[in-house]
Amino acid sequence: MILPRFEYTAATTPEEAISVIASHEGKAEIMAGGTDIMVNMKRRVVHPDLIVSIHNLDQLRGFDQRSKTQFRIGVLNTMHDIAASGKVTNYFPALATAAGGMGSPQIRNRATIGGNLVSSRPAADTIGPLIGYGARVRLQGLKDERLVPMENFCTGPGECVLFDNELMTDILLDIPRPNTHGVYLKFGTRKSMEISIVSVTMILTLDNSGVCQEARIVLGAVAPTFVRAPEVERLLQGQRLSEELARQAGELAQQSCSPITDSRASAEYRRMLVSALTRKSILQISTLK
Amino acid sequence: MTTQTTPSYSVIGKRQVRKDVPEKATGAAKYTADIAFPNMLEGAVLCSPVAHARILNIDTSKAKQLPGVKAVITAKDTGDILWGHSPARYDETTLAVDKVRHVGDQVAAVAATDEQTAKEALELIKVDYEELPAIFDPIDALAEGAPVIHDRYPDNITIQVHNHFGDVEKAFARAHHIRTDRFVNSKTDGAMMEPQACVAKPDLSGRLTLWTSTQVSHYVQRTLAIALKMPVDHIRVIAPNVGGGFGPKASAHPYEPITCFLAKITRRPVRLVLDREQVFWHNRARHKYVHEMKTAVDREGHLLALDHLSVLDGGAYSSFGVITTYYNGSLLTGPYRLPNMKYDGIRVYTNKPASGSLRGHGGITNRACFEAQLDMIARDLNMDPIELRLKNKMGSDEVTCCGYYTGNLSVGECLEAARDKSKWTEKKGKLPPGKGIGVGTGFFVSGAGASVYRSEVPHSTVILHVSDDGSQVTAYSGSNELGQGSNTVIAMIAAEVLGLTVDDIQVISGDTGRCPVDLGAYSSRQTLMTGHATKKAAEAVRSQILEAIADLFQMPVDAFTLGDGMVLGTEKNPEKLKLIRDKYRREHRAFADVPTDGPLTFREVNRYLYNQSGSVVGKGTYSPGEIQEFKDWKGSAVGSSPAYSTQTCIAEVTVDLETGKLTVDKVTLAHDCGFALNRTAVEGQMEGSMCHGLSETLFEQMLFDDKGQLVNRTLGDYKIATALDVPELDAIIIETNEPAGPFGAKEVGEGCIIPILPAIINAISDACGAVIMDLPVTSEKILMALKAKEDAKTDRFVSEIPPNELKLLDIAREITQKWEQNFKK
Amino acid sequence: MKMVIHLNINGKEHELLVKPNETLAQVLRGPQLNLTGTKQACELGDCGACTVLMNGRAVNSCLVLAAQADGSEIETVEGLAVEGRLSPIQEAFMEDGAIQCGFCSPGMMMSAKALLDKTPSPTRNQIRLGIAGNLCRCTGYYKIVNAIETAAHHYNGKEGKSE
Repeated sequence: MILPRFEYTAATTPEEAISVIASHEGKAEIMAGGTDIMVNMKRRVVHPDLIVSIHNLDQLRGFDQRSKTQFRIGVLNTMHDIAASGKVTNYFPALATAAGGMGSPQIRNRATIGGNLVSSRPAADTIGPLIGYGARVRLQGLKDERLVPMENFCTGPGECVLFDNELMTDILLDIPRPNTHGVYLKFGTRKSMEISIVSVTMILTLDNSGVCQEARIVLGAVAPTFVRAPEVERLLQGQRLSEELARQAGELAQQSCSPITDSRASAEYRRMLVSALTRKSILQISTLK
Repeated sequence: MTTQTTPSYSVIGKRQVRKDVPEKATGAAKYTADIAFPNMLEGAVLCSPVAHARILNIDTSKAKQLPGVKAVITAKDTGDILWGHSPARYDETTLAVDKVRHVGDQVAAVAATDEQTAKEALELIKVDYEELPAIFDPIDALAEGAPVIHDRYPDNITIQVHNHFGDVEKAFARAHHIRTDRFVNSKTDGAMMEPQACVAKPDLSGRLTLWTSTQVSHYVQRTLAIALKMPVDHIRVIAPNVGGGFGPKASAHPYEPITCFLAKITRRPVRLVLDREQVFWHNRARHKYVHEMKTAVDREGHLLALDHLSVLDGGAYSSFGVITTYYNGSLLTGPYRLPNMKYDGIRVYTNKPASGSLRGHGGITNRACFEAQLDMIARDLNMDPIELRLKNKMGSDEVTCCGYYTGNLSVGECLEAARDKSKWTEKKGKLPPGKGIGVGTGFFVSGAGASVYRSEVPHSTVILHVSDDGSQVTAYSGSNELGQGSNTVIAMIAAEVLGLTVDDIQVISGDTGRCPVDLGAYSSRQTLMTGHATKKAAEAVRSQILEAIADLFQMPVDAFTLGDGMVLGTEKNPEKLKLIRDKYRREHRAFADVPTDGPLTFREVNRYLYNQSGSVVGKGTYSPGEIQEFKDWKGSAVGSSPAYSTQTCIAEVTVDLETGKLTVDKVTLAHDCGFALNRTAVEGQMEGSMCHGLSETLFEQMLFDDKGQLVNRTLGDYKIATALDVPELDAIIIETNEPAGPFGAKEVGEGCIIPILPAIINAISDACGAVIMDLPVTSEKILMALKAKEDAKTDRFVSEIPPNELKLLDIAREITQKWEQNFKK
Repeated sequence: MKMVIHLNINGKEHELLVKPNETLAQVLRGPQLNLTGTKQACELGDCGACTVLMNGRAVNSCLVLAAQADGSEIETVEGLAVEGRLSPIQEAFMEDGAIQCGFCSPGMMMSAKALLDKTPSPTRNQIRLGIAGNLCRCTGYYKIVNAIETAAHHYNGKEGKSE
C-alpha cells in the first residue's frame, strides 16, 4: 500500500504550522507521530496536498507542573512518554494505564496524545481518562486561542471541534485532590494491538474513611462519542465502596450508554460489558485504597 | 521423552541450527520482493471492486498513456485458458475474461517504471461492469433460480462427495446411545507474514525465469506452461526464501502468470508484490464448514457409526476444494476404530474469495466437531473423556473403514503422555467454577498418497552430487523450504548416511531449472517423502564409495563404513592405504590440507572415484507404495498416506463468568513424529502449529459486508495471536519409530494445529458448562451461552448453530437424497 | 518534489534524495541503500515486520515518513552484527530455533534490541510485552522468548558485543 502524492514541510514554530494549514483551506494536514494519518492516507481515507510536520516543535513536548494545582501535558508527548512519566502515573494513573495499553510498543513510541485526541475515535484510549480528569485542551488559531474542556472536544465518531486552521498545543489538567484513584479498563479480543470494544474510566475521590466524595465515570466505544455515567456518579456519591454498591453501579451504568452492534460485538454484549467493567473498576479501586 | 530405544546417530536426532538461518539472522536472506534487476519494472494488478459482474468493456487507453507505463494487459492479452489446482476442476483464468466472481478478482495489470506509477495507472483503467446478483451464502447459491457463478456448474456445486462404508443404519439400530451435534466455523485467512510476490525475467530466447514465494515450484511450473502456452522447461520457477506458506501458497495463483505475461510483453524483468489486502482477497485458506454428525456408541462406549453431513462454502473458485471435500470425510476414519461411516459433503460456489487448503487441510473443523461430540458422549455415559478415547483408539497396522493402512499409530501414547504431564486426573472434575481442562486428539496424513495431477511421477527425486575434489556434497531437490526446515532435514539425512556433517552438505531446492521434480511442501510430505529420496540418494553414493574401496582393497564391502568424514576400515590395510594416499599427495602437492594419517578421508576417496569414473552422483526417488486395502471408491486417494501422525492436546482455561472472557492458561501437547530428526525444528513446528490453531479458535474470522467486500482486510482487523496471547506450553515429542518414514520420521507440520481447537472447546465446557460449537470462540458467544444456560436452568448448554446453517443442512440432506435416488437407479 | 535528507544508518552517515511521500521503509529497502533486511508485511503498522530503531526507539518504519526521519539515527538488522561479529541477539535467535521462515525475524530482533537496551535483564513477561507489536505466524513465540532471554545473559549494552 503506497501513499498518495503530497508535498511536505516541517514547521519551525506553531505559528508557522497554523499559518500554513490556514492558507491551504483544508487541503493541508498536520502530522505529529504519523501513526494515524499515515494509515488514513494509505487507505485513501484522506488525501491532503500538503503534510505539515510539527515534530520539530519542542515547545509542544514535555510535562510541567505549573503550580500546586495545575499540570500541563504537551501534545507531542508520545504514548510511551505518558506511560513512562512518573508524575502522570502518580497524579493521573488512569491516563498512564490507557496510554501504556494502546497499540504496540512501536506505535506507542510514535503516537502522540494530541493525535489520539484529534482522531476523536470512540475507542481512542486517552480520551476517556482526560475527560474523567477534567482536562482542557488549548487550541491555537491564527489570531487567538481557546481552551476547550475535553468533554466538549469530540462531537462524534472521528469528529471534533478543532477548526481547519487551529493547532492543539497543550492539555491542561488540575491535579486531583488527595485520595483520588483512577482506573482504566479496556476490553478487547487479543492482549495487544487492540481497539476497545468497550472502555470504562473510573475516577473516584474518597475521604479518609473510604466514603466516595466524587465520582467521574467515562464510558468509551458505547456511544457516538464518550459519555459520562451521571446516574452512577450520583449513586456512588457519599457511599462507602462495597461489593453490593459496585454491583448496583454496574447495573445502572448500562443506562448511560447507547452502543451499536457492529462486526466486533453486539449492542447487548456491549451493555453487559459496561456493567461488568463498571463493577470491576469500582472493586479494583476499593482494593487500592 | 523417547518411548523406545533408538540407535545412536551422529547427526540426526539432535538439535541442529538450520542452514537457512544465518542469512535470515543477518538480514541477508533474499525473499522475492527483495530481488531487483537492472531495467526492472514494477507490476500492479487491478482487482474487482464488485462481487459478481459481467465485464462489458475495459478501456486501458489512458493508463497506457501515463508516462512510465510500459504495458497494460487484460484477458485480451492473457487469453481464456482455464487452469487451476485439481485438473478435473480447472476454473480459473489468468485475468477475468467475461466476468468477475468476487471482490478482489484480477481484472487487469500494469507494468511501469516504478510502483507509484503502476498503481496510479490502475486508477486510470476504466472498467464497465454490469453487476449481477451476487451470492454470499451457500443457501442462496443452492436455491432454485440462483445466479450461476460458473456456467459449467449451473447448480453452483463444485463437488458432491457421497461415501458409505459399512452400514450406519444397521449400527444405529443396535446402538446404546446416539448423539447428533452440529458445528460451524468461520472462513479464515492464512495470514502468513510474507505476501505473495513474483519476479519474472525473460531471456533473449523467450524463456522465462520466475522467482515466486511458493510452496510448490513444480506445480507452479506446470501451471504456467498451461497458462502461458509454453513448454514446461522453458519456464524456470525458483522459490527464494519464502516467508511462510501454510497452504495458500501450495498452488499457482493468477499473479504468477500475470507477472510472466508482463515480462514477456515488455521483454523486461517485472516485479509484482501483493498488498496485504490482495493477500486477503486471494485467500485460498480455510473453508467455512457446517457439520452435522450423528454418532452411535455401544454400552461400553465403543464407536459404532458416524453419519456425517457437511457443507463447505467454497468461494469463487474451486482451488483445492475438491480435495478438501474428500479430506473432510476420510480424515475422520482414524485414529479411532470406526466400523461404519457415511459421509455426504457438498462444496458450494459463492461470490467471495476462494477457499483452498490451510494447515490441517480438511481435518480441522470435522475433528473439532467430532472431538467435542466425543466429550459429550463421555459425559452422557459418565466416562472420563480420555478413557473413552483410549477405549476406541486404533493400534498400529490396522485398516480404517475406508481402507487406509494406519501404519504406526500411537494415539494411546499421546493421550497418556499428555494426561500424565498435565496432571489431568488430579484436575478433571475438581477445578473451581470458571476453570476447566479439556482434551482433543488429532490425526493427519504424512504426505498425500497421490499427486494432484494423475501421474506415476515419483513424488520426490533427490540427486546428490559429490564435487570432484570430494569436499562438497550438493543435494538437488525440487522440494520447498518455507522455513519449516526441510533443507536442513535433507542435509542431516545425507550427512548421517555419508558420515559427514551438515556443513558439508549444500542443498539446492525449489528450483525447477536445477532440481529434479518434487511435488513440494503440502500435506506434510517432505520429511517423509523427500527424506526417503534423500536417504536413497545418499545410500547410492555410499554404495559407490564402499564398492569402489572394497574392490580396491580386495575386501568385502561390509568391512568399511563411512563416519566422521572418513572411510573407516581403510586403516586396516596400511599398504593399500599408502598406495592411494601417495597418489593423492602427488596430485595435491601444493594443497594445505592433505591428510597424512588415519583412514582415507571422504574427500580422498571421492577424488579417487572421480578419477576412475567421473562425477559421483547418487539418485533416490520415492513414491508411496500400496497404502490402501481397497481403492474402489471415488476420491479414495485423498486421505491415503504412507503414514499418519497423531497428537493429543490438553488445554487448561479460565473463563471470566461475568464477561465471558477466555484465557487459555496452559497447553500440554504430545505429538508422535515417529523420530525427531531435528529436535529444535520439531518443537518449533509443534509450538507454532498449536499457536496457529489457538489463534484460529479464539480470534480468526473473515467478515464480509452485504456487497461481498471483506471488511477486516488488514492484520489489525483480522487478528492473529500475539506474543501475549499464547499460553504456557509443555510440548512432548513422542517417538515411536514410523517404519514407513526415513529413520522412522514422519510429519510434524500440520497435525499439531488440529487438537487445540477441541481441547479449548472441551475445556470451556468443563469450566462453565457452555459448549461453543461455533468458531471463533469469542467472549460474547461464551457469555451469551452462559446466559442461555441460566435461563434454561441446566448445567450444560450446547450452542446451536445459526438458523441459516440449520436450513443449509436440510438443503444438503435433500441434495444427498436426490443423489442417492439417482444412484440407485 | 524530492528532498535531501540525512540519516545516520547503522553508524554511517547518508545523504539521500527522497520523495515527500516515501516511507522510511521504502527508502531503506530502495536502490539508494538496498537494505532489504527490513521487511514489509502489512504496510499499516499492524505487524511489526518493518521495525527499526529510530533514535533508540522501536518504530514501524512503514508509518514513518522518510522526510520526518531527517536527522535521525536509524538502526536496522544489517547493523546488529558489529565488524562481522554477530550480536548476542542474532546468535541466540539462531541457536535457540527462534527463526523459521525468517520474515518476522529482522523486526523481531530489532524490538528485542530496543528492549534489551533499556531493560538488560527482562522477565519473560517483559519480553512478551516488548515483542507484543511483532506478529509471527510460524513459531508461536516460544523460542523467540527463549532466545531473547538467552541474549540478555550475554548482552553488554548498546555495543551489542558478546561477553
